[in-house]
Parts: sequence; structure tokens; C-alpha cells
Amino acid sequence: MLLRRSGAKKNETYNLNVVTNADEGEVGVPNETFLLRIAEAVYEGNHEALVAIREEGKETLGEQALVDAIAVACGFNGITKVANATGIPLDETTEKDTVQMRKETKIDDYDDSHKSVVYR
Amino acid sequence: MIRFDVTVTTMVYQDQPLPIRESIALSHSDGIAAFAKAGTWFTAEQRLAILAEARQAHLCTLCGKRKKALSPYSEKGEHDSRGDLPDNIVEVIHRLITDSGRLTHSWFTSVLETGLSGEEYVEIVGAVSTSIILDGFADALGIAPLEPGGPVTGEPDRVTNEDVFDGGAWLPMLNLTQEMTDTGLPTGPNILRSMGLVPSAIQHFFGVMRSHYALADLDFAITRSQTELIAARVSSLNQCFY
Repeated sequence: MLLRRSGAKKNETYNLNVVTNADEGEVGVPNETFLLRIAEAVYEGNHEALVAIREEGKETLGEQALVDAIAVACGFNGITKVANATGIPLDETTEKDTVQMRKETKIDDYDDSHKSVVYR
Repeated sequence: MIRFDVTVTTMVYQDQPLPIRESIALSHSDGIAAFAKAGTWFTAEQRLAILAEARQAHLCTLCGKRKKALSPYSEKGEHDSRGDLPDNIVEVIHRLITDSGRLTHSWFTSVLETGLSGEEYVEIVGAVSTSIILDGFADALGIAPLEPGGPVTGEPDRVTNEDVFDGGAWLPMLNLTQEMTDTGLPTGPNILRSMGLVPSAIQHFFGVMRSHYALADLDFAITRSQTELIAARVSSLNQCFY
């Protein structure tokens, strides 16, 4: 999760558990509530939510930032399909550096070894 | 007289109410046009059918039932498909679109056991994932989805890329010389290598994806932390381990 690295560069600590629903509260990123709404609406293809986001986003983020945020969400909604469909392992350094974080955020539950047991 | 084949990119998204970056418009022009051209393993007609089936998947009753089930593998039946593609290809497309977070290695193995090759599977994954970006972006901005136009003459070359290795993924990964970058990731992270069997699929998908995200020098009007927050949340919703 590169969010952790971007926080470290700015000497800021983000609550990553909120991103994966492993915890409640705030992550610590400006405009996070609105940005998380964008992520969720794009993932769900929720037309009603997207209409509201387009309207509110002009005020909350500004037009260009709104489009850029949507672009990031759409890109990751595509690239995660590639990752999920090919079963790629983590890159070596990521695997070494994120053991505790993956455990705390429950990202380990997304590994095939876990999914293969749960989804038979 | 010598004639050259020249690819002319038609600019899309002109006159939209919201400001769409030129880099995105250009990549989407190329990305949608690639559906109307022969790939490495599928003809232009088949690739257009894959795009059409990806758009159909949201309306599938079986996928709707599977989505609600505790395990998608408990629901049997037939997909509501357009009927242009074999069942095994329809299964891959629909699962990718509607429930990729619960794909398992045993599902992948079962798909290949139906006779689909790893190369064909990769080309489908690249095409469908590209369509998810293109259609999702249009949908989110409230504009009409891009259309690829009619099929362009040409045949798939059906050449397997031999420059791959077993990197622990479900499929052989692209062999690359690696260097570590200051992002903490190598120059060729595993996601880039995941479709190594079909380099044209890598080109198709990442040709679009690169305009939506970059590990460095991303010239967007949101901060790096905001970018990574969105990326992390979408990844989590998709139950993506990588």
C-alpha cells in the first residue's frame, strides 16, 4: 500500500486500517471522506452517487482535481482485475516490508490461500 | 508507389463539460481503437465481442446471484450472454467484471481445463480490464462510452512470448532486467509482468493505465497521498492482495 510510503515521505502517519474497514475513524488525508466516496461509487458503478459526486466535487475539490480523482479510481478498478485474475505475488521488497501492515489491515485475507478456503 | 500504414489517433472527449486531460483522451482513443484490431490470439471480431460481452455482464442474472452468495461457487447456471463467444470465455469476462475479488486459483485452473489457453486467457484479462477503465471513466463523468468502430482487417499472429519465467503467479511472468527505484518498487513490478505471455495485452492495458496513474511524476491536481488513498480504497474494495 503506497499510501503508507507517501505519508512517510511527509513525516505523516496515516491510519491504513480505515481504508480496509479494519478500523473506524479517519485516515488523515485532506478531503478523505469525499475521495473515499469517489472510490466506492466508481467501484460499485453507482450512477446516483456519481451524479452527486460530479455536482459536489466541483466545489469540494475543483473540476480538474475531481476528474483526476475519478481517473485514479477508474484506473485502479481496472488494474486490480489484472492482479486478481493472474494471482501475482507481491514484489520482493513489498513482501518483506509490509508483513505487519498486511496483518493489521487484514490485507492478508485477500491472498489466494485465504480466498481458496473461504470461497469453495 | 510505396504506401505506409499510419495510425491516426482521433481525439475523443472533446467539448466535455469537465476538463479531461489530453494524456487521458489520447490513451483512451488508442485503447478503444485496439478492440477493433486483431490481437495476438483473437481476431478483431472476437475482440469486439469481448468488449460487448464485458458491457453485457452487468445485466447477468447468474452474476447477480453469485455476487450476493457467500461463495460465488455455490451458484450454478448459465450466464446471460450475447451468444457471440464460447461459454468458457463468457465465464472469464463475467467473473472479471462482476466479482474479480473472489477469483481463486482453482477457478483459474478449471477455466484452463475447458480448453482456453493461458495466452487466450491473458488477452481476455487485458482487454476486459482495459474496458473497465474506459467504460468506468465515461460512466463516472456521465458521458457516453467510447465506441471502437468496425473491425479492421488483419489476423492475429498467435505467437507465444517465450521470454517468460515462473515467478509464482498463476501464469508465467514477463522476464525483465530489474532495478530498484526510489518508490520501493522495481522498474518492472509484478503487475507489469503479469501478462507476460502476451506483450500486446500489456501494451493495450498499460497504454491506458499509464495516463491514470504513475509511481512518479504524476501531474494531477490531487496530492500523492490523495491519489494513494483512492488507489488503496479501490484495491481494498476489489479484495486485491497485490
